[in-house]
Parts: sequence; C-alpha cells; structure tokens
Amino acid sequence: MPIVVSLDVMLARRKMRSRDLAARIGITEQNVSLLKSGKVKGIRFDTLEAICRVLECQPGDLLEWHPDPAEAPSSD
Amino acid sequence: MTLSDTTLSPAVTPEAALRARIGWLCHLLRLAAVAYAVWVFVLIALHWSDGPEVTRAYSHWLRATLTEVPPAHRLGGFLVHMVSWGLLVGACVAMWRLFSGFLAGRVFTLDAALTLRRLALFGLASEAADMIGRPLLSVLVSLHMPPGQRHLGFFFRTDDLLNLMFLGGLLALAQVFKVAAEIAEDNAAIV
Repeated sequence: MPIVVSLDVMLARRKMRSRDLAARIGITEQNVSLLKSGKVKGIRFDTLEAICRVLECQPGDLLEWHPDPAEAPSSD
Repeated sequence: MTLSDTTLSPAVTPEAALRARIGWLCHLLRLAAVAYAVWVFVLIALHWSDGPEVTRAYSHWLRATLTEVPPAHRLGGFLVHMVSWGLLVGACVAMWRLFSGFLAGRVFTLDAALTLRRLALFGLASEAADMIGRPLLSVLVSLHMPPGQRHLGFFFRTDDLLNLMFLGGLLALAQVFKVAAEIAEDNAAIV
C-alpha cells in the first residue's frame, strides 16, 4: 500500500495509548488498531481532524506516500 | 458491517436505532415463520386424514365422480405434499435466520444477502413442487378407479403467479442486497 500510516509513531510521541485515542475521538479501538496497521481503505476527514486535534499534529505527520519502485515518478 | 463502527456516540449507533424501529417486526416475522410452517403442516395432515373430504375435494377439482380414495393413496398424497412442505420449511428457517441476524445488528452483511436469496430459492422451489405435484395428486386420488375413469389433472391458480412474482422479486432483491452488502463492507473499511 503506497500510503503509510504512522499513527503508532505519533501515539508514542504523545505517550498515548490506542484505547485512549479511540475513546477521545469516538471510534472503536479495533478501528484505531486497523488504522495503525494500515489495513483500512480510507479515512474520513472528521476522523482525521479528530486525531490531529487530540494528538496536536498535522495530517502529514500521520500519512506518508511511499510509491512502489515500479511506479516511482520520473524527474522532470 | 454491523453498523456499530461509526463516529457517533455509542448511545445512538445506527444499529441501536434500527433495532428500536424494526425489532418488534423482526420478532413478529420470526414467530410468523414458525407458525406458518406448523399451520400448513396441520392443514395438510388434516386434509389427507379425512377420506370423505379428500374424495369430495378432488371430485370437485377433477369434475369427476370419485369413489372413496383408499388410505394408501391418501398417504401417497400426503407424502407428495410433504415435499412441497419440506421446501417451505427451508424458506421459513431462512426467514428465521435472516431476522435473527437483523436483531443482532447484522444487517448489511453478505450473510444476510445470501440468507435472503436462500429464502427466495426455497420459496420458489416449494411453489414449483406444489404445482408439479398437482398432476401427481390427480393420478393418486383416481388410481383406484377403473382404467377409463382415472385422471391426470393440471391446475393453476392466480395465487401461483402472485407467489412466483413475489418470490422472483425477492430473489432479485437479494442480489441487490448482496451488492449493497459488498459496498457496505467496503465502506466499513473506511474509518
């Protein structure tokens, strides 16, 4: 999956547990776990907004794009 | 998808709201499924156990004068009806499972769609067995008559077409439901 979720890194920085984040943003702990492991197909803006608000970070701190080597863009 | 993975507070999940709206209907339909299967069995058993009634009813249907149908032939008729009834029970079991799943919050799931399809297929099979069984029944109830007075009867009612339309529509709806369940499953993977 080219989009890598680094939520676990941010949780570690903020010293917060997945369970506490789930409770504060109103989604299940299972979904937080799936998000951390990248096993989701997408994330809603309101969920992303809630995570950024609670963890005091930017969306870019949570999501990174790592293209597949075969799909790496050619430089202009 | 169980409708519980949302950003709403736990007190107002769509699952709980849906169950509050249709829970009573799901309970009612489950009871109706059981009652209907039992009711039909009792009617079939009472019908075939009443020799004079069988003779009268089939004399009327075949527009013939039948003498009393022997018990062995009536047993055969009962068994023919049991084929249709057995398939009807399959439909009722599927109905029970479908609405039990709804009560447990398993609404937009692939399993629910497949159960709905199973319900429709069993219903169609039961209806087909009933229609195919009628000529067989006409032979059974007239088999004891002299060779020139035996009958092979075909009989269709408007209810047959209504049932086929309804069950065919249910089968189509099951396919739509399956696609909806797949979309819901995709959406459930979006947190």
